[in-house]
Amino acid sequence: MKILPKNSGFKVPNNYFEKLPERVNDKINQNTFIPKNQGFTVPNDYFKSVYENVVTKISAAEEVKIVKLNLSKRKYYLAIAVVAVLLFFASIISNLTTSTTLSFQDIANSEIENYFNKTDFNFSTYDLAQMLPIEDMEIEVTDIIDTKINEEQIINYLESSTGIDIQELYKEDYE
Amino acid sequence: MVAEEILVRQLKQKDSQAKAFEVLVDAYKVRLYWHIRKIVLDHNDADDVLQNTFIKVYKNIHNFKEDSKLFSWIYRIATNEALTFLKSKSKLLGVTSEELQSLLLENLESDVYFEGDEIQLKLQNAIAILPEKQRLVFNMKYFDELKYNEISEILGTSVGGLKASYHQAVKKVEHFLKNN
Repeated sequence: MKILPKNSGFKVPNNYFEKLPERVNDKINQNTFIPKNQGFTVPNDYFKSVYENVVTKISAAEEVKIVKLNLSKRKYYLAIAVVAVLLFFASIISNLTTSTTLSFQDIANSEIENYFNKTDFNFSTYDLAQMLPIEDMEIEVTDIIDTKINEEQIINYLESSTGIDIQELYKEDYE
Repeated sequence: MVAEEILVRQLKQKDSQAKAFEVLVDAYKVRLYWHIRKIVLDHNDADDVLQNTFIKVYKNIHNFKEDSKLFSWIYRIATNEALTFLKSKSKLLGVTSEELQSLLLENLESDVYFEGDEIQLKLQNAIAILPEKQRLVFNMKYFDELKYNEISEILGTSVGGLKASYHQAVKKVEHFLKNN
């Protein structure tokens, strides 16, 4: 068996395998019953007018580009210049005639309230106390609590809750 | 026909551009028209798209880098123009691309530039249900008889992918024609 040659001697035409898929396709196309004619038609002499129609469209587009576009650009620049000059004079006139300038007071209170209501600032009570000193607030203790509290009651409350002798503190301060 | 490289050179030079453009339109108008017509179906739409294709070629010839054939480049522009046209049309009518295909087929039945019989109308119905890529490949291979490597250059898809798409398309069209 060892003396038998491996080469069988068969040959194929040049590029046989490269062209095989194309030939298979051709075969498929031959065997199919799909019609080759799709039934579309064109108006008489349609193809004779294609070049002229295309050239007419190109010329029209170029004319529009050269003449009308430049005109409209000029108009555009002119309009911008007129508006700019008018705005300039309007701002000067309004500055001369009105003495009022916008300030914090001009913002409607409702807008400020709305802003604070809707914005979560995450302020601590300490931050709030720092920002809103009690002496600046136009409120009395009685605005919050109905019963009037005298000084003696306050001292008694502070001494009992903190354990500090307030009278002693006074003495220390004056010594 | 003038050799492609010479034609391209003439198209890019101002003094020879007009004459070369006439040669180009004459050489490609029929093939391009039928390629476009198979995509948009209606004659007037095909005419619009064909003219726009040539205008794009004229305006963009300086951008043609000659790394592909002029024929493939023009076919690619025509294909893109036709597909873009269909997309704008479906947008304008407020319908999907599938619904637009049905509308185009309905119009085809009353189109004076369609003389197809029942089988040819059925064929258009079968082609209309194919996905866009398969529809393009089927038209280009079966009717235009372009080679796979030419279609590959035009659509930018691998030859293997095109073969698969084409065989699937043939099967679907045959199945539709047999069963309807």
